Amino acid sequence: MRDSYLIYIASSVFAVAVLTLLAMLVDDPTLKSSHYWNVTLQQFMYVMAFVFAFFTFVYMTYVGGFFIQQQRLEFKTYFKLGMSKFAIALISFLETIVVQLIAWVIGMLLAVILQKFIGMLLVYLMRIDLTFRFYLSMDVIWIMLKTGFYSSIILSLLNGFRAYLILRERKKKQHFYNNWFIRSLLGIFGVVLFLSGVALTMPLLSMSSEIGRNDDSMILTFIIGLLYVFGSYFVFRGFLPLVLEMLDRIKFFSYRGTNLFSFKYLHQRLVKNTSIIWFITELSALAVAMLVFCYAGYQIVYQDYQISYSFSLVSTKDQAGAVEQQLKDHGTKVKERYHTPIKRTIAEIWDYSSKEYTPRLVSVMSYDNYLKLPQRITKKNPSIKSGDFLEIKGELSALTPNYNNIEHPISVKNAPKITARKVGSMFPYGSRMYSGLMLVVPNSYYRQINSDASETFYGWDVKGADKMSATAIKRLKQKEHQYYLTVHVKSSLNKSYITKSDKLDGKYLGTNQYIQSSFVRQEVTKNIVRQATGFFLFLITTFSIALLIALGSLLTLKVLLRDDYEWRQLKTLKRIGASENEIKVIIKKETALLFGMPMIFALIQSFLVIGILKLVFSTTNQFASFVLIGLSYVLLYGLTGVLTYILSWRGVKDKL
Amino acid sequence: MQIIVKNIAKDYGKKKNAVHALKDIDLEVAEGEFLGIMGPSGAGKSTLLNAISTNERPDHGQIIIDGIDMTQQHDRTLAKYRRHKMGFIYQSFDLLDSLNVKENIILPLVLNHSSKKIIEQRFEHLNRLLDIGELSQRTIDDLSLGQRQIISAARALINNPEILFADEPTGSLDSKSATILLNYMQIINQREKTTILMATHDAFTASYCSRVVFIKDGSIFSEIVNSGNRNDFFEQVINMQRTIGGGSYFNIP
Ligand SMILES: Nc1ncnc2c1ncn2[C@@H]1O[C@H](COP(=O)(O)OP(=O)(O)OP(=O)(O)O)[C@@H](O)[C@H]1O
Ligand SMILES: [Mg+2]
Repeated sequence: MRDSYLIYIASSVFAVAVLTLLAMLVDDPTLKSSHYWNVTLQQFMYVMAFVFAFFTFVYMTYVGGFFIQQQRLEFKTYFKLGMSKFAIALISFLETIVVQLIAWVIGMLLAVILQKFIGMLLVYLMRIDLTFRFYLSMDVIWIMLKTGFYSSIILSLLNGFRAYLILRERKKKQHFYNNWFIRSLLGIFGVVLFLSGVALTMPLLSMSSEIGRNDDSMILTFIIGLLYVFGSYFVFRGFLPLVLEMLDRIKFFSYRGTNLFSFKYLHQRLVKNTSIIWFITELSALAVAMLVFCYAGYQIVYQDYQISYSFSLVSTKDQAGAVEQQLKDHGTKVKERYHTPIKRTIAEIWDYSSKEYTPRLVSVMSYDNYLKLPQRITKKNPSIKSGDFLEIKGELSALTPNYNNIEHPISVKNAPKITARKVGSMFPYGSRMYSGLMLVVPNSYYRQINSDASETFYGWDVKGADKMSATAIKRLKQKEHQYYLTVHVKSSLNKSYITKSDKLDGKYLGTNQYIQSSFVRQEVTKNIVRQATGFFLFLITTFSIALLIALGSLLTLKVLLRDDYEWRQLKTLKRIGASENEIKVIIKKETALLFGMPMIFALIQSFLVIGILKLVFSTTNQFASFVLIGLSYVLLYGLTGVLTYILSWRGVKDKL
Repeated sequence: MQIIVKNIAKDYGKKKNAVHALKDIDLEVAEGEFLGIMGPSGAGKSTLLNAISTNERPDHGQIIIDGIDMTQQHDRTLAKYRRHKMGFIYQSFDLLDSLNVKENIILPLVLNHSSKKIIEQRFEHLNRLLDIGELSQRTIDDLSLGQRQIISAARALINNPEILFADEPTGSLDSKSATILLNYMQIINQREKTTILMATHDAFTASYCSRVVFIKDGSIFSEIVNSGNRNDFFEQVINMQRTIGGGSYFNIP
């Protein structure tokens, strides 16, 4: 009994600590001060914290259930001795609330202690230049305390009710599923569902992800998801027990050594734990899929970056001379020099978040000038003819929603409305050189635009290192060289205008104010890409791994906690003459079943992510990422399984 | 099978709460003997049977069965030995609730990987003998205590053990079933030279034995040998029980 208190407290402490850590991260001032932090990320973190809170709650509900189940016989005896149902329910209520409150306090303390460490790890992994300070957010503590209080009350009430139900249980309920025939039917139905899910995944992989067909494949993905979720439930509920039952009925198998016992024992363990095995399977499939998604996503983004930022150095007109001088001084080998005049004006573009047209800065280059740019970069954009428009999106295609959406026409100041355009992301000057929108327009259209602030971009493609000294780079990047553009929005687009200034009035950029960088080196961009996406992906990864570990520990608990009934069975088996080895084999099979089933089914299901990746990133096969993450998952759960087996066997050996 | 118990002792618990369940017991059981073990509740009968049947290791002392010192053997060897040569009727029956009656009975044979034919044969034989045919497909949960006891006896006997350990085998049986079981035990004892060790409170049950040892507080108190006359032996047993106290019909002031 002491053991189950300890296990209950330990697992609750774990859950609370992870949740508190996550909540503290969301509210951490150090991270907020980083400029990679933005509102979307913050919202995303809130959602994640909330989702995790939900899972934590479900997790604790399950663990609490084991705890009460363990005391079943005890409660029944109290009841027989004349204690009222209410009193027993009250006992289990009080017991749970004490354990819960202790767990919350310890878990939160642990989180506070670990907070700095985790924060430092995060900053280190993202290679952000921040010193992580210890910070205790009173808001978070207060919210967590409140959450802890309410959830403790709810869980305790639930446990009180559970104890009450245990006492009310009169006869074995003739449950719907207990009917052999119905269960077998459901089991076979489940297999059919699951297999059709697998079968449908295959065409999804070969489906092309052209625009317009996206919707179909999204629906298909959703259907496959449903087939998997329900299919695996019925497989666990009906099919696996059916298989064990059949094995048990065939004397050829069952009349051998401990099989006669172990088939029944495994059957019992399986039937008792169906819902939890299913829960774990589905969530770990989700976690594995998210991990693959992040990993593959990161790789895609990184490749994307390597393609789109193949320039070495770029600068504005003012700095071009200085850069050239530097290159000459250091004897850098320049493979290619290019430059492009840019006009700047204002355009009304569709804002997806506010769902309206908003005036924004737009930079324009002519078709002729576009052709002069290095082909090795621009050829990855869709090809355009002299009369076409091309929108160059600085964002990374992989992570931008509505990337390909060209539904909304663009109106440019004092120029015809652009109704049709193509979208690309390859830009020989890199996305850091311009803000707002970048358009390649036909020559005649270009001439029509009157520029409010023209500029010429210069680019150098060097062979090997650029050999620039750190001080030179620092000098080139100095704030004095950059300038600011402000869009003054007036009653109509044609009346609005742009001003250029060397200084900002306030401390921060306003909504329609833009910085023009004077000099960009590839190195800088690399860091930004890595940090911005890394940050985002790292958080999802943390979340997924925490989820996987939590689920693994749930399985461990499930294996370790046997009720009295199961103990008595093993003990009896030993007394009849089963050797330690034979019992060990039974424990081994039991662990393998409880760990193996979720693993196999989760892996099969998470394979769907390859299809999703294809839809979202429209990339070629990401099979390697899947194999890598899948293997790590198998390794993690395999190790947990082995550890569980060792613990479990120790426990059994001590007790028998 | 000859059994020699040399100077064994067993304590339970630690320091303050220590219980000396067995204190330096010496005992010899000849091959084919039907030995009764009697004594008041808590005297150490079950503990002694458990020690001799190698279910529990004594703290010190030796248990020599057929010339082999069991206390020196590895657990694995002991398990094998138990399975092949011994049968047990436990005081608390120790049946597996997840198996039905038939499966419980044949379990020792299945564990030994016996052939299906032999399993069915032996099962049929015991079925007829102990008259438990109708029970065979029932689940253990539904059985009465007496029915459980007879099932656990059938399980003990199914592999024709060379030594049978019976802890209170008739405690829950009606007199007819008890007589059937005891007669059967007597038959296998005489015909197949099965050595039987039986703990009991009941003087009638004890009267089937060829010898009865009495233990009290973990030590052997005395013993009585059956001279051949059941009635005399029965009287002797009852007298001895009166002397040590405990047992079914005495201690009435
Ligand atoms: N597992 C155990 N742990 C602690 N003490 C035990 C254990 N088993 C037996 N004992 C103690 O050892 C002593 C002997 O017990 P044992 O079961 O051998 O008695 P018994 O003669 O079989 O009694 P009964 O006639 O009631 O079956 C008792 O005092 C008992 O409390
Ligand atoms: Mg006893």
